[in-house]
Amino acid sequence: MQPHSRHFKANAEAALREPNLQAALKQLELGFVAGRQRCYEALPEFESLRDRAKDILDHTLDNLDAYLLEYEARVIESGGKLHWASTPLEAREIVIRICRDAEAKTVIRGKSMVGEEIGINDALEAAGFEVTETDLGEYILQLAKEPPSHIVAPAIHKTKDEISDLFLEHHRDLGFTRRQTERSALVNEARQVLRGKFLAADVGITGANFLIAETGSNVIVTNEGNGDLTSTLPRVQIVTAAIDKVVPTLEDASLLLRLLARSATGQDITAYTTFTTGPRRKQDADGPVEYHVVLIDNHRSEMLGSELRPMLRCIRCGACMNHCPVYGRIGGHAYGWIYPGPMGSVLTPIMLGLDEAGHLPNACTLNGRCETVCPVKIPLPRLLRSLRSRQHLQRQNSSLARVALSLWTWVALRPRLYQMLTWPAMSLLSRLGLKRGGFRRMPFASGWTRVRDLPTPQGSTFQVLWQQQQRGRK
Amino acid sequence: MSAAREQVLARIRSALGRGELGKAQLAELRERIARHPRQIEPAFSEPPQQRFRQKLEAAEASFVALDTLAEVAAEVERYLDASAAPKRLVTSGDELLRALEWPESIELRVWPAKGDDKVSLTAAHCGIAETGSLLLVSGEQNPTSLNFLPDYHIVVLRADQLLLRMEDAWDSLRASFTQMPRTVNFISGPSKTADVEQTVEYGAHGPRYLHVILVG
Amino acid sequence: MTTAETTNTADSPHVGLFVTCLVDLYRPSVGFAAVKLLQQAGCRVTVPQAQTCCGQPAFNSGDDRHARQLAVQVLNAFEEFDYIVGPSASCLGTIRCHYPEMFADDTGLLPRFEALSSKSYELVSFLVDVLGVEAVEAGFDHCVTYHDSCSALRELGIKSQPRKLLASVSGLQLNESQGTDICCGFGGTFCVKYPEISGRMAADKVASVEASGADTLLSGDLGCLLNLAGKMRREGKPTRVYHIAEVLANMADCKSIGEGDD
Ligand code: SF4
Repeated sequence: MQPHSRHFKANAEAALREPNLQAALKQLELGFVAGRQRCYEALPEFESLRDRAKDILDHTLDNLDAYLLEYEARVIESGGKLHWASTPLEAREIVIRICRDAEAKTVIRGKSMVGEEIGINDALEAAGFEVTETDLGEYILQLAKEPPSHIVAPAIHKTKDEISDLFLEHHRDLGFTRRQTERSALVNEARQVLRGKFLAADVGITGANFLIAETGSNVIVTNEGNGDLTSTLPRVQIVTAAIDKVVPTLEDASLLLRLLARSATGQDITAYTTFTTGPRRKQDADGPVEYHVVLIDNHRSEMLGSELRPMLRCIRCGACMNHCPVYGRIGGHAYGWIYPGPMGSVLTPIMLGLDEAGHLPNACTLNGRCETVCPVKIPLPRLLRSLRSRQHLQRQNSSLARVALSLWTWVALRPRLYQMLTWPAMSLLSRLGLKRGGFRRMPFASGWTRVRDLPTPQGSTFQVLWQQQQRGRK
Repeated sequence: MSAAREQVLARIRSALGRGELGKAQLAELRERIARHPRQIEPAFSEPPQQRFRQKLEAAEASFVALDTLAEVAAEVERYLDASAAPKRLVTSGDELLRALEWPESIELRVWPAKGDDKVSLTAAHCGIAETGSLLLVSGEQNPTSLNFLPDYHIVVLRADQLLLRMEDAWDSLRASFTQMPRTVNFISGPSKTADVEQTVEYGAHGPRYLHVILVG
Repeated sequence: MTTAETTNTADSPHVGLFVTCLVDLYRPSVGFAAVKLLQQAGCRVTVPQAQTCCGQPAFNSGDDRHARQLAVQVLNAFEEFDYIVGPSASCLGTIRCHYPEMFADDTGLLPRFEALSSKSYELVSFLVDVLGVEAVEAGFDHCVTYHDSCSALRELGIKSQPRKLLASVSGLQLNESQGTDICCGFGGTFCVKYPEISGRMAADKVASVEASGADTLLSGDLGCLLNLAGKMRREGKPTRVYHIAEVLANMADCKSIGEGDD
């Protein structure tokens, strides 16, 4: 998709005025946040699981090349093919070539964020393939031609009404001529339409929640079962996965699975957790005959070598955005690309550049709620702050803010001067605002006064009063 | 393609500030894989069967425990009657199920499943008490599509195959197979989605109903 | 360095009061309340004059060089004391958690910053956790609600301490509001860079304060309080806003934050 992160401010302001979106976002605290909290309280080991998850992933990242090679060897042993891609372009080309070689016409997809990241749908459609998303949320968005607004619940911003309209518009030709208004009827209609797609598809493309070096397996976690149909029915399966998805063993994956669904949706485990290894075996009753994995770097090796390395621990649970007070007010689309919220505010500037996504690291109060819930203990506020440092060094932040801040620091580094300047300023401000108790407008502080008054200061500074008091004592 | 492979690996190594790992270090990593140490396994105090059942029922699956395999056919018929489901089954060819004797009232077909099969019957390799999950593996007689295409999925599990945790399932698989089966499904309830207004609906793409029969 | 001192006894703990720039400029009464509370608890209090700002605005804006310069200024002014204490979790969180991080590569200064970090405390947690204060002598005949600042809650783990001392204030009733762990939208420069988002966050917080039924809002951080008091004024809410130190020191008889003459 065409990113529009540079318009973050305008996007956000529009989102704040969008009543349907606001209603959906209000649900987050009652749904995902409360659900995670219940899971947290029910599992005394939760904190030790987080610590261990961090250790396992740090160990894996320290030895990433070796574990990827182990994984590669097992994939090949089990009859699969492994393809490496440095960039989204390379990844798209590989996927298209596999589809062409298989003489495929139709492709179905199981929800995958890395698929969004490399823009696989548009590329396949441009290459002449019919592509259908099978995760219900993603399917709704495909019909609406919108990007996901949440990494776990992609269509969280869509109301039932909008979905009813979309289905009527797109399913009418398939014989579904009644506008369904019940949730269950909508789900059922999608089930019927997509069932046909599943049975007819030549290629199924899924993502991977984890890759297992021990066995060469990929892991998919879903509640709908769409990922399983996608990896079982078509004759070719392609797994698109980023290099940071690998973990050493099945036991390591088991630990991470204990955290994933709990952190994401407040479930102990999702309805389906599936480990897939290679193509169908000679004697197998069903399954694809070809199995391909496309391993994608896309700036991850660069992050590995920087202070942003902890970001590569991310297991894409979405807890950080569910708990983010900014995401909770503006939703995912405002962030302008596919990864929203705290994790997206770290990833997007790396993948698209700070020029495009410079707002994102700044649009955060550093309140830290994300870090306290992240199942793999990514210090998100610290990473956002370090992106701000990069911006500062590259002089990419606003010059007015720079000047104001430099001036403040310059004065603050000179305590005597600071005291000489601040006392008259504060007493003037206090005299002006004493009666009303606050200002509705203030030159150079319009950012503050646009939405709230500026309370009047008490009038003197503590330092001046304190020194007077001390002199009086003596 | 292999150029990309070398580039990615080179970038990773330079990011880690080192070259390829030495023999000894690689051996250590392989040893860790071979040892596959168990990580943290949360404690639970309920008896496994009780926990298994509670978790499944909390996920909207139905559950019944029988004493003998001979009772399974009658239970399937009872379940289908109670659910007003068609008495036409597609089953896997699992040994456990082959031994069953069926009344005439039930129409039976051994796989493959078709897109319009309504009821499937399969056997689980094992069950997991911690999460209330069934583990089903693909194989010569066990097509994965049976687990996902029909509306009603009935699974038979032998009580002695009810294990405590996912880690126990791995050990069981390692003991039973020389290579990971192509597909290993952990199934912990019927198919569901919350993609319409964050409200759960059952029967998204996979089975709308999951019925678990524990035997023994 | 000129210092102004008050005496308890010579062997009582010697506290350097970090006033914080917001309290210094905006609400000196909070500083005096802090001094009173510390003295009542048996401390010797010194207010170093060579203090201004902890450097957090620069640090959070990615201006690491200036942030470090201000950190060194704080280090030099406060190193000599037994403790450095201030009425703000935000500033003390910077000193305690982030100074060592800023100097992680500076083998010369790091040990000094670690030492400073380990003796730095937010006021209320210092009273309760270090000095063992169980109760204060104060009265406040109001129904209050308490806003946990994010730095208090998540950086410094402060939650029970203010509630414990508030429980000892005679006449005071505490009504908890919903979502006390959610940010009020201040966020330093965030609130002026993204006023619309910040304003919505503040509005939601104001609504939950109102829903609690309290007539007074208290918190331990002046940044949050200025934000919320400003929002309440803008929305015409009658709720009064004080820093918790003012109530604990029995000094909440001055005008509340943002209160006018009318
Ligand atoms: S950063 Fe942490 S909380 Fe956010 S999606 Fe990744 S793992 Fe989940």
